[in-house]
This record gives sequence, C-alpha cells and structure tokens, in this order.
Amino acid sequence: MQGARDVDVERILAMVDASAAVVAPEDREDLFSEFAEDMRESGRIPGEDSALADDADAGIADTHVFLGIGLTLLGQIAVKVVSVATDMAIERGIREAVTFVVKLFRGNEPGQASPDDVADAVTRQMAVPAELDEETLRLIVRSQLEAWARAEGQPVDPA
Amino acid sequence: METVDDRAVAGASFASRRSRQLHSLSRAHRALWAVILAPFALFPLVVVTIGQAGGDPVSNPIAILLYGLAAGCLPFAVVLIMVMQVWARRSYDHRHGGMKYRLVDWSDSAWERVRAAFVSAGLDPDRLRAVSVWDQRANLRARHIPRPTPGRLGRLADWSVPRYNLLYVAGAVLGIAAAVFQNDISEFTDTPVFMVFIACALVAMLPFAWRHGSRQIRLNLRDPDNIVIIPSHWRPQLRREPKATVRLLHEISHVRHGDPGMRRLLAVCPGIGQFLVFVDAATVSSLTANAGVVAAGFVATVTWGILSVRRAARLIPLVHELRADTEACRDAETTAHMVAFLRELQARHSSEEKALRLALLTNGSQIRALRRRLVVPVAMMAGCVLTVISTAVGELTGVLTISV
Repeated sequence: MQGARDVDVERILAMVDASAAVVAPEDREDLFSEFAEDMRESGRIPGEDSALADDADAGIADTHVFLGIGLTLLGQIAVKVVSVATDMAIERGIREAVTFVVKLFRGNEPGQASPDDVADAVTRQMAVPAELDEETLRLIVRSQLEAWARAEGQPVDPA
Repeated sequence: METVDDRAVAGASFASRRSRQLHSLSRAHRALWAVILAPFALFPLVVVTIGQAGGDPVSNPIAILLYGLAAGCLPFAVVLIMVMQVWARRSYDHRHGGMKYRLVDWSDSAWERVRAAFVSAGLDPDRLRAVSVWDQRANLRARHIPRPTPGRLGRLADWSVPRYNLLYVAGAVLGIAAAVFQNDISEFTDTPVFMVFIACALVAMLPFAWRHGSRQIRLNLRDPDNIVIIPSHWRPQLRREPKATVRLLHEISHVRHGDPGMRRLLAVCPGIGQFLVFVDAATVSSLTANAGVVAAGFVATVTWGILSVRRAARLIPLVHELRADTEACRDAETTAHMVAFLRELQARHSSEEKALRLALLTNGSQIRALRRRLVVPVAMMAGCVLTVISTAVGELTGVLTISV
C-alpha cells in the first residue's frame, strides 16, 4: 500500500469498520479511531509491519498469542479483497471494480461470481491465520464488499 | 464445604509457598550470575600469578595491587564497550525505526480496571511506564530502551550506528595495512614525533571516551529505562478482563527487576567469560609437571568452566520467566488463569520452557529436575574455580613451579 491515495484509504477504513462491527465489535469500539488516525497519517495498515525484533525482550511467551480477529487483519483482508475483486472484474471485461461488486450481490445470471468466490480467492492468495475459519472469513468478505459498494454509491465522510 | 477459615489457611499457605519460591529463585539468579562472573573475578589473580611466578616478579606490593586492579578492569571494559554498541544501535532503532509508540496514560478512565489491579497488587501505577504500538505479530513484552548520551556525543553515536559496518571494515583494512607495511613505515613510526602524536591523540580522546562511558553507565545500567510494550490488539482484552491482567503483571515484574536490560549484558558477558575461562586455566596449563596430568587438568578445568558458563547463560532467562510468573500470580485464582493460558499455548506449540513454568506454578513433578539443572552449572564452576585458585596459590607460594 505504498503511498495510497486518500480515496483508497477511506475505502479500506469503511470496509474495516463494517467488518469489525460484525466480527470484532470490542476492537472496533476501542481501537478504530486510533487505527483510522494512524492509517490516514501513514497510508499503510497499522500493525502490518512488525517492529524490529529485539533479542533482549522479555515476552509473555515464546509462542505468538492469537487474540482474535483484529483490525490489522481486517485491514489486510480488505486490501486483498479490493485486489481480488479488481482482478476478477478485469477478467470479465468490467472496467469499474465497484460495478462488478454490485453485480456480485445480484446473482442473476448462471455462472455469475458470488461473494463467496471472492472469499475463496482471498484464502488462496493470502496467508490467513489458522484460527480464522472459512465461515467467518466469508462473513467478513461479504460485509466488506457491501461496505465498499455503499461507500462508492454515496459520498464518503472522512470523519 | 470450604469455610472462611479454610480459605484463609489456603491463602496463607499459598502466600508462604510463593515467598519461599521467590527467595529460592532470587538465590538461583544470584548463583547463576556468579557462575558467569567467576572467570572475570579470577582474571586478575591469574595475571598476577603468571607475572610473579613466571619469572618476572615485581617486589613492590602496591605495584602488584595496581597491576592486578588494572588487569581486573580490562574484561569489564571490553564488555562495556561491546554493550555500549548494542545500546547505541537499539536506541537508534527505537527513535528512527519508524514505529509510532503511544504512551499509556494509566489515569485514563479506560484503564480503570487495570489500574485497580495494580493498586491491589501493591504497585504504584504512576511509576509504571508502558507504551502501545500497532504490531499484529507481537506479544506483550518488556523492553529495555537505551537512552542516548545527551549532546554532541549522543549525536556522534547516532551518526555511527548506520555506518558500523563501514567503520569496522575501515579499521580492519587500516590495521592489516599497518601490519603488512610495518617495515616500510617503521622509519616514520619509530620517531619520537610520532610517539608524541599518538600520546597527544590519546590524551585528547580519553576525556570524551570517559564522559560517554560514564554517562551511558548512569543512563542505561544504574537506572535503565525498561518499559512494557502493549500491542494495540491486546488492549481490549486487558481492559475488559481483570483476570487477563495477570499477564500484564508478569511483564511488569520483568520491568521491576530490569530483566530486559540484564539480557543485553547476557548477550555479551558469557562470550567474554568463556574466553576468560580459557585464559584463567593458564595457571594449570603452565605447570611444570607430568605432561599428561597437566593436559588432563587443563582440559577438565576448561571444560567445566566453559560448560557451566554456557548453561548458566541459558538458564538465567528461564529463571527470569519463573520469577515473573511467581510474582504475577498472587492468589489461586490468578494462578489458575496463568496456568490455563500457558496450557493453551503449550498445546499449540510445546516447548520445554513452558513445561517448566507450568511445573512451577502447579507444583508439578518436574520441579526436582529443575532444581538439579540449576545446581549443575554452579557445581561445575565451583570445581573450575577451586582448581584455578589452588594452582595459583601453589604457584605464588612456590609449592608448584610453572614454565611460561
């Protein structure tokens, strides 16, 4: 996400906000404002880059502790959803990815892609943590696609 | 049916067991550090012994004492120089690494429950420094943040950090060139002018080196800055669940004892210590006696010394973790939570460290094995030290002769 444009940042934030409301409401309530502030400032997803490891650190455990789905993971999924949906739209000759996203939810024609196909593509292309099960991932992707469509259909309010 | 008295008795026995464990862990910690520092302590004795008994005796006892003191300071000076480089690098990385750290304000109402847990544990929240940072792959941890020397010396240290490799290579090239071409440049370097130049350069540099070194010791050894780093995704859990606070108390225990700062020393001291074991065994290797006996004695001394220093260096972080666990678990409830947490992690990725931590918390059967492991390096180093001291005393009193 090098030097992301403001529109892209706002889109990702809207997607993270919507999916966090579904799967991580506590994180959203507690941390979203800080997440948004840091992301707008740096243009990158906060938490994606790991801090330089210091051998002298005294950590709580030698194993990584997975504490549930966090905003960083939702942000990474959102970025991957945008890239997968854009690729799939280009494959079908659709110029605007958001048109493709809106079509995903209509499900009119046979052989039409569905939000679950996007979720499967995301699983294939991204290293999703083992604790995140398929059902939850599909729920996240669905809510993020909805938020994307909503955000493009109306002016985004960067509050 | 558990009465109030039963619970009080259980509580009292828990508290006494806990304080006994803390005492024995502190003792173990001190003993393991003594193992690592023993070769340092023996070094001046060995230098003086080899000097006196090796055929160049100095008769003035004051001179011997000064000689011994200077020799004794040398290994510590080497350790300090190496550790100061690590501090400079970590300090630079912390300030210029691009990570945004937010200071935690304990008086914020959002941290109310955590603050209450600290107060009930007898800790002063206002003296606990913690920062939060966005880092998905990180756990809760305690870190030593080295402070830079204020002023120009600190800026010079910052300047040198990204150029360490360049400086090392330049120094190596110059050194090798000086050695290779020493005959060619000897007509220049043997002159008094050059000697005077070298002496003046040293005299000019020494005050700065002394000032920088003493400031760094004061800032990073005597009063180190150990803080708790709370990854942001840990915050909601810590704030809502009072039982999860035991994990934060574990980290705070590390901070209170300065464990992260000590681990920086632990990265350097054992290496120097092992080398010093080898040097200290010179009192054994230089004996004029049956070659086989001398060789066997030398090998035994060096092996005991080196193995014990290595083991002690590996065991000290484990003792830190055990002590932090014991301090954090103040009653049966928090102990149960910590045990559940460790068991869950152990199930996913088992390690010996977690197994030993669980054993200590649950009074498991591995405690005896743990005690044996802690005693072994102490016993081996005791053997090594006794050998070196006895041969040194023998050589100084003339009972044994050495050929250097």
